[in-house]
Amino acid sequence: MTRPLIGAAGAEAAPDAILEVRGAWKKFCPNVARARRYAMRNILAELYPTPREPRLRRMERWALQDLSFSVGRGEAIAIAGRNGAGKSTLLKLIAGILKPDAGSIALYGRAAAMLELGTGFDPLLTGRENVEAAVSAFQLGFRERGELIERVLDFAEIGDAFEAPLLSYSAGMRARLAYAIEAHLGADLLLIDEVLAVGDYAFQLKCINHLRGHLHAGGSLVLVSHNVHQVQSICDRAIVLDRGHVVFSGDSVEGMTHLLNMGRAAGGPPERAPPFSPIWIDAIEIDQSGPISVDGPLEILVRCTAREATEAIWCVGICTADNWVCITSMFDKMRRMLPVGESTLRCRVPRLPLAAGSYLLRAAVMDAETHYPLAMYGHEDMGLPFTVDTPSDRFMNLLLAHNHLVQIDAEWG
Amino acid sequence: MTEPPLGDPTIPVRGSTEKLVRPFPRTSAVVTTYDARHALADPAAFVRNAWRDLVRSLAISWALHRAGFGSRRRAALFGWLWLIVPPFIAAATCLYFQSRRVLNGGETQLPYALHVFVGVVVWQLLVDALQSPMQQIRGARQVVTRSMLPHEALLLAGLWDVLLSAAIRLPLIVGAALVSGVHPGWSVLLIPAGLAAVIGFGFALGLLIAPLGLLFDDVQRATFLATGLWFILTPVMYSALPSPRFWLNPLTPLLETTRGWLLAPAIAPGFWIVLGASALLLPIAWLAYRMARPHLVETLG
Repeated sequence: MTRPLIGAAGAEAAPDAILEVRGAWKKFCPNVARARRYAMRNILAELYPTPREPRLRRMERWALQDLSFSVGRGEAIAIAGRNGAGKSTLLKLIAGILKPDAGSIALYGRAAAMLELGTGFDPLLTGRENVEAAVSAFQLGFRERGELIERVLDFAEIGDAFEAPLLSYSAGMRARLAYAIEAHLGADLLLIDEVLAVGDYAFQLKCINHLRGHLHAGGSLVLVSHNVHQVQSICDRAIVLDRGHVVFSGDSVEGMTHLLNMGRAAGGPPERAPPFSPIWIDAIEIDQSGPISVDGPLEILVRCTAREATEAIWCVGICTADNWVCITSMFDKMRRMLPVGESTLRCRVPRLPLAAGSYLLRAAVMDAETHYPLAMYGHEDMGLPFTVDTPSDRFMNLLLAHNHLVQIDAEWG
Repeated sequence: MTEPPLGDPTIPVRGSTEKLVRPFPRTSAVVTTYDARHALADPAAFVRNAWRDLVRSLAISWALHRAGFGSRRRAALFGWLWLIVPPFIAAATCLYFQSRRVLNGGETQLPYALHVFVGVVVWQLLVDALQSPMQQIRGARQVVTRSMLPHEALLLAGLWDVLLSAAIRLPLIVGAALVSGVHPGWSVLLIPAGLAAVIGFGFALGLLIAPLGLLFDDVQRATFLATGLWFILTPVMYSALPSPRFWLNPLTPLLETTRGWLLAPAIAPGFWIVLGASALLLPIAWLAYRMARPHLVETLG
């Protein structure tokens, strides 16, 4: 295992780098009482000029281990990984909110952090008053300040609500306003943590366009996101973290493939069984030999395990290969009593109307009474991939060329 | 295995800001680095960065103070009345107790009601200043754990709040003196300095215990208990006794001097010592807080 170093060591900085993370390590202690005692010791240790080499104390774990990367001007990098991978910790280290236990972070320019939209907003103040307080950090003249506030208002598109107290805002309006403030402060490097997931589709699109403009103007971006679509449309590179380690570093599209594959590989009870859920889905399988063809049948098996006997209904969904669009969901509305232990649910599609291509299968088991989902597979990560083969047919080639997803029978007059 | 290097000579020290040699056309390029080295690895850089954040925080803290004031005004029905009422209530209560011989305030230089009134004003300011750092950071837990805002901005905003309440109470002291038949001398002009000394002392003490208080709830509880006891030991409701042991209470010289300035420019024994100690304690407490800051943030969320 690599050894953590107190100061940074390594190669010379890249000439156009705006951010350099060198051998960064960060530990954490999940036990609250112990973490506070350790914090007390760490504070006292600051009085010693020479620090000790960081070692894990009792109950401590590494949140980040030996992370090194750099971000150049005009470059966008995605930090991806499952929950608890260390993404937000990394962003807090870059923002200077947390201190690394080893290694160093160098920022060559000004950074703005959007770790949570609307942090520090006062609900009793109007949108304008909140914006005025937020822009006070910058020593602007009266006129410049007025112009900045107008630009924020234009971007946020909240109209007359700007003069209303923030407590009357919807979550989306708050997000718009908060993003607009950070976006217009002219930082060289934006640090964004999942905040684009807030707000409606139009807002997300606007943010993506803004970020593209920011990059085009020479700004840089570190984006923490699970969203494949956002990452692929904005970022050039991706770093995938798993339990504090870098498991992938490279092209953003390949990074997302790696992330989705991680989700698939990690299937099974630990990932798919919430602590209090009575049931989880172990696997989805396709029960047929030979290729799946257009208009052919499809046999699907869903294997699940129940902690307690549960009356449930279930469904199977088919999604595009990027998990972005669900083409259809088929519900079995008949109530089934799933006994304790393993069960297999079976679904047969007699004639699959999908065009040739790659797809994903997902499944969910829901409470029979409330229809609340008890177990899901392929919703937050990757489902079961399958391919629909095509015969060599000129019409089928046309469908493929135009990215058609389904074929629907029609009667012609 | 060789010893790990404590710092990379190719990059500046933690938190430092220097003109960048390499060209970055977008903004006035600055280099900021964060690393694992201890705060005192480079004391000069530590103090320089602390000073830079303090200067940067002045405008932000003023905006936060104004915003917070506006917000509180909207949420309260009686607004500033809460700053004014407690000393009146305390003075009335003490007068009642004294008339019933429950309380013996002793011989006081000022009329007894005025003595208590000024004492309570000063005491309240001390408690406000003492509690301000902890309250400010606790109240902005979300901000300190998720934004790059310097903590100094929050701490100073709290200090401006206390100074504002002092400014509101100051005319009350003069008004109460006139109503009590006391005609203040020119030394009344020194009272703002006396109140500032009390606030500075309280704020320095509050800043010193803030890291402990933010880590352990016990400290906050202990502070409440200790301030209760301290109130009893401070000549707020009674006259200061001549015993040297009594003057060991660092608030006594500040309170007695400030109260005395309603009549004459006299300085109570120990006043300059406490003032000097406060002036020394304030920067030390601030720098100690800065050392603790990243470790506190970790535990706050």
